[in-house]
Amino acid sequence: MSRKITTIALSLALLAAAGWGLWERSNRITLANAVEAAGQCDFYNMLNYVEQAQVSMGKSLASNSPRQQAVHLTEAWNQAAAAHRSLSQLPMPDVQTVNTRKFLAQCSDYNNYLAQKLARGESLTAQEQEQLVRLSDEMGRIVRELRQTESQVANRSLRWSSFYKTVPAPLQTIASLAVPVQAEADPLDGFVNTERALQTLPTLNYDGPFSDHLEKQHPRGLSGNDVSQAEAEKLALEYCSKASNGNYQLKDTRNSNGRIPTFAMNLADTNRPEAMVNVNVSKQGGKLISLLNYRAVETPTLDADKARERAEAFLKSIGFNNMQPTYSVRSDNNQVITFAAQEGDVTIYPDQVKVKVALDNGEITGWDAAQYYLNNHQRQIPRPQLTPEQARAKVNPGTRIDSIRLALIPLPGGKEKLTYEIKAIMENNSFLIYIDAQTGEEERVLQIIDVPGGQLTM
Amino acid sequence: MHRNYLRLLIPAVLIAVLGSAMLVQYLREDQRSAALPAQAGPAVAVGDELNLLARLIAAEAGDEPYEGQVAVGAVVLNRVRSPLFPDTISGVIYEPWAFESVYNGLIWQVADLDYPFRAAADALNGWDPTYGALFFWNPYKPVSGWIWSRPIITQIGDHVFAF
Repeated sequence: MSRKITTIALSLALLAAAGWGLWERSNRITLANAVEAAGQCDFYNMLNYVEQAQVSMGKSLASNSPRQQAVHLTEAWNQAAAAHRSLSQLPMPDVQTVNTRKFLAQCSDYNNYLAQKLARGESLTAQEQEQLVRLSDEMGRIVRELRQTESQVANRSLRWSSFYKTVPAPLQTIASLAVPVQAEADPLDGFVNTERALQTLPTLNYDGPFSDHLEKQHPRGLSGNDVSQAEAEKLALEYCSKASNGNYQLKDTRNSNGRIPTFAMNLADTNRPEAMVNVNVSKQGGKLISLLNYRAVETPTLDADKARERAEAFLKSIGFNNMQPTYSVRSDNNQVITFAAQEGDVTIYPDQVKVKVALDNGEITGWDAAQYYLNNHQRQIPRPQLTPEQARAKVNPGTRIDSIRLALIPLPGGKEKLTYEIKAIMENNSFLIYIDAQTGEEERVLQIIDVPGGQLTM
Repeated sequence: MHRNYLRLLIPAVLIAVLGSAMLVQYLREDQRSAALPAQAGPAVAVGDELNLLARLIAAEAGDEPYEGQVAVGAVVLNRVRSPLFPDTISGVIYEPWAFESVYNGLIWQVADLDYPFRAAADALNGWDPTYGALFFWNPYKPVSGWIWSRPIITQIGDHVFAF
């Protein structure tokens, strides 16, 4: 009797296990198919966008009308950017695509730059035409390589979902020990070859964010001799006591070789165990680059105006005398205020610093002057050719003008331009419109977005 | 008689183990979505990316010093501005194999988001303790050899940061 029961129970258990296994398997296959579909979608999108971008560049080269050229360059700009986006989502763990990505981003950026140039009424130089031909040729090469891969994707010798396999560590070791069989053509060779070919691409310099000349940017605002670590540590203590009263003690110092080489120090306030302050002092010149106090800020007792006064006092104490508050935003229980340098009646936006003020006791919990020291230098600011009235007349007549002032703004490619900054209101939305103070061209439009405790510009 | 009961014990245990395994599987799949803190932490005025960034920081650098958490947030934002990476925060975070915590699902299971939220806000407000890092990794764990060819900026806690 009981043997029968045992047999039945065991068979049921076996059936259940098998059923469960099948169910799990079908789940896994469904998921693998979804991953496969996403991978194929990204791959075919990339191939398509690269083909289209090459065609668009070809069209703009063949066209003789600046209007048509601008249209095709704009298309190529978007298509190259879309190809970049698809490529970055392709799951290829063992294939590096750094050069290909850089090429696509630069290509997109360069097309945008040329389109904008045409939109301003300028024409392309012979050199720019040549660059475009070269980029288009490279694009053609990528298309040929990817078509090779495509045939392998189509006959299913390349499965994107297969890259998501997890192999247990011991098996991995065995696999790595095994001598590889004569390698067949890898389905991903198309990507590998492209990557190799783009390695030796000449540098591309133009007025855009991905231009090669920007990579070598160094801090222009720092001068003087390098300070020693001991000097930096002394300076850090001084800066800390200016930010807030406390009995600070150095905990550790770290060497940092980023775009601004610094000594980074952690200091603790012996009166308050929770207050740890991180201070970055530049090696060159010993300037305070950044400061962050980690403590949690309690319920606010100060308002934004009081916070601004505290921030201004701190600026004066470390030698920043001509700074104008520009934006202010409440972040947690802190007020983060951005200041820009002021020269005469011109606001210098590239030279900006940020000050974070704790709204519970008014101490300075943050400082960031990286932008300031990267951009600050002796400038020859030209006299504006336009009067404020002439600049006002250039603004969209559908807006109501609130205020106007002179501002030096950064442009893509590391350039700067003197503009009239005009605050204009349209259908309850506020905008900042920048009009070139020499030519009257509209350079840029920003929208001001109200957020709790401040404003953001986008 | 006693013997017979013993015989029944083995299949009973087997069935119990199997049943509970299936149950656990079921519950875990349900929990995944329920465990997500929808809007944990304070509402900070720097956009919807904050949730995304804070969760990545918690998953990648939850045990790191605060400075290291800000630095991980800054790496994501530096990538957004770099030609080598996607141009959105979500694109950078969910890029295949970009972050281990996305691959192993930790990013959807993190619970302690207090410090990461503050670190994400500082990073979004512009603080970058590394001044330009694009990569970070734990030097005590095996990583691909290629990554060591990047110029190293500094080490914060258990992470090396590099261009």
